[in-house]
Amino acid sequence: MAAGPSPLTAWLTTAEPQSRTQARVGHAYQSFRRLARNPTAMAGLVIVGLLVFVAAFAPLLATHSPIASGDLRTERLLPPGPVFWLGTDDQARDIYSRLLYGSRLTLAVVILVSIIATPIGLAIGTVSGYFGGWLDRVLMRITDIFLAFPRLVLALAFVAALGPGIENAIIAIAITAWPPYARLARAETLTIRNSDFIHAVRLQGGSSLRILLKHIVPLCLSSVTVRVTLDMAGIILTAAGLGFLGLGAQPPTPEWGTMIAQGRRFLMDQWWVAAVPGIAIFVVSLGFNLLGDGLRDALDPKASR
Amino acid sequence: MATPLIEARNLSVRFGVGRLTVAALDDVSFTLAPGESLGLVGESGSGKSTVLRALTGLAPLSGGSLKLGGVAVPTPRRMNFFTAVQMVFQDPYASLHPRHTVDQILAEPLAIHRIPHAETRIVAALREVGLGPSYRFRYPHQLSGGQRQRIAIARALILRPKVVLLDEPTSALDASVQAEILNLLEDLRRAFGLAYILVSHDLAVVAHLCERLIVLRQGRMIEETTAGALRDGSVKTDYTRAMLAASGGFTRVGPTAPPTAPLRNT
Repeated sequence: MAAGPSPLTAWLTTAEPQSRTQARVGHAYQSFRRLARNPTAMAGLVIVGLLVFVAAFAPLLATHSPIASGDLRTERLLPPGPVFWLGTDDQARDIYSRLLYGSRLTLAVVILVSIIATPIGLAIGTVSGYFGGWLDRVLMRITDIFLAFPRLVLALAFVAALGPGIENAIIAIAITAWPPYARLARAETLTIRNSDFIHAVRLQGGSSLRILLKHIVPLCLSSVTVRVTLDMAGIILTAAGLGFLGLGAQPPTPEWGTMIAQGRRFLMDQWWVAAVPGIAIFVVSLGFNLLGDGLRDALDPKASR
Repeated sequence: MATPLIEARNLSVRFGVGRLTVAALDDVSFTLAPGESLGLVGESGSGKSTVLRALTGLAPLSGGSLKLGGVAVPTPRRMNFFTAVQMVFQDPYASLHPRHTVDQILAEPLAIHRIPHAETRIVAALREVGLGPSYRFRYPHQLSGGQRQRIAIARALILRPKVVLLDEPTSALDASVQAEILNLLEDLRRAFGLAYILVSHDLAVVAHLCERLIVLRQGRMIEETTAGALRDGSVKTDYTRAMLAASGGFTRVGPTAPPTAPLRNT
């Protein structure tokens, strides 16, 4: 770099920030640069970014209606071609358009599950680890009970009790997703709880609530974020699995798992009907996994020197 | 005589239960006058840090009484205790939140005690410990050990306490930085009329900063003496004398004097 860093880079990387915002933005920029150095993480970020983009602009990108059938006599189960880019299914619907709209459901499932499950896991884990004693024992035994169930089976039971549908599938997955986060947050809290900087806040008269919210939760957040990102692949697969079993999104909703279930009957002769949503699930799951791995390296507090 | 700032009577602290009980502190009494500085010395495990933890309530007292300004200190501690007594920890790498800027670290006690004009207080606190306002928005990992300890001192002083508890404030620092921090502590004490309780295994540090000192061994008080007595070697007990010999270089013993003390400099 002969010309030296640009003013913006200099502003972001200065060792002497002039304001709270600059310090925070600069810190985020450093984390991002660590992430950007990792090519697989960037590949994951691109895939996830693409998913978000496609979900946001699905109506603009789609060539056909995702729900309305085409001409059932001439347009059923067509192979990929110039009109139907990824072929059509047994209801003569364009698979490409259904795939685009399905990304909205996938993204909604992922976001809603993490919004519901992460705070529950964090709250239970940090409270349990910070206060210890009987509260810790009670909360951790409850967590153990949830952990003892296989995720899909518990989700199945919940969906069976609440009735099929994407909303219930989301609730069911969220209920089964939080225990690992609680375990992780508790383990982190136990190592932080007795450190000097927590003692220092207590000596300043800080309440337990303040210590938990302002000091312990932010430190647990990065490892929990990594774990949630890595779990997103599993969440997508569980949602698709529930859809496949007919307990998630109901037809004609363009959900990827449901699409595979419908294409199963034609797997031998019209492979694309099931393969295309299958590839989409695979690629998006892989993207979240790669991103999670990269985040682990970027957010590791020990590496942030 | 005026009421002492801190009056500790027969403090005892026990850890563990049943047969595994360990008396970390046994019958320790002392007083601290305003502006005075008291040293607690002893080898590792002698209970000197436990005294500070017992004062602050981090370790529960199993016996004895504690008074601050003539008033009994309740458990759990009240807010007025925290504005009067503050602490500087041993390891500046562990005592600052790794994800908070200096600004956040110093703003925290002000927010807890709802003290107005935080902005000016923070800048003033940085200046007091010899750091410019350019340090305000840095993260701890961007600071050296000595700078971190200065931040920790600024955090302790920002509430304007009367007593500062110093838990081996220099033992994690380089020798050259140690002297800087000790001089800073000395200056601050004079400027704000602070009282110190200094815990250290380093007799030179204690003699530099304290007038009086208490020697602890296995949770018991061995001797109460003065820095002067330490300097001219007129200490009463053998244990203290052995400690003096072991901290060689401080007292000018001849090369033949065997350092037979059961001491390790940790």
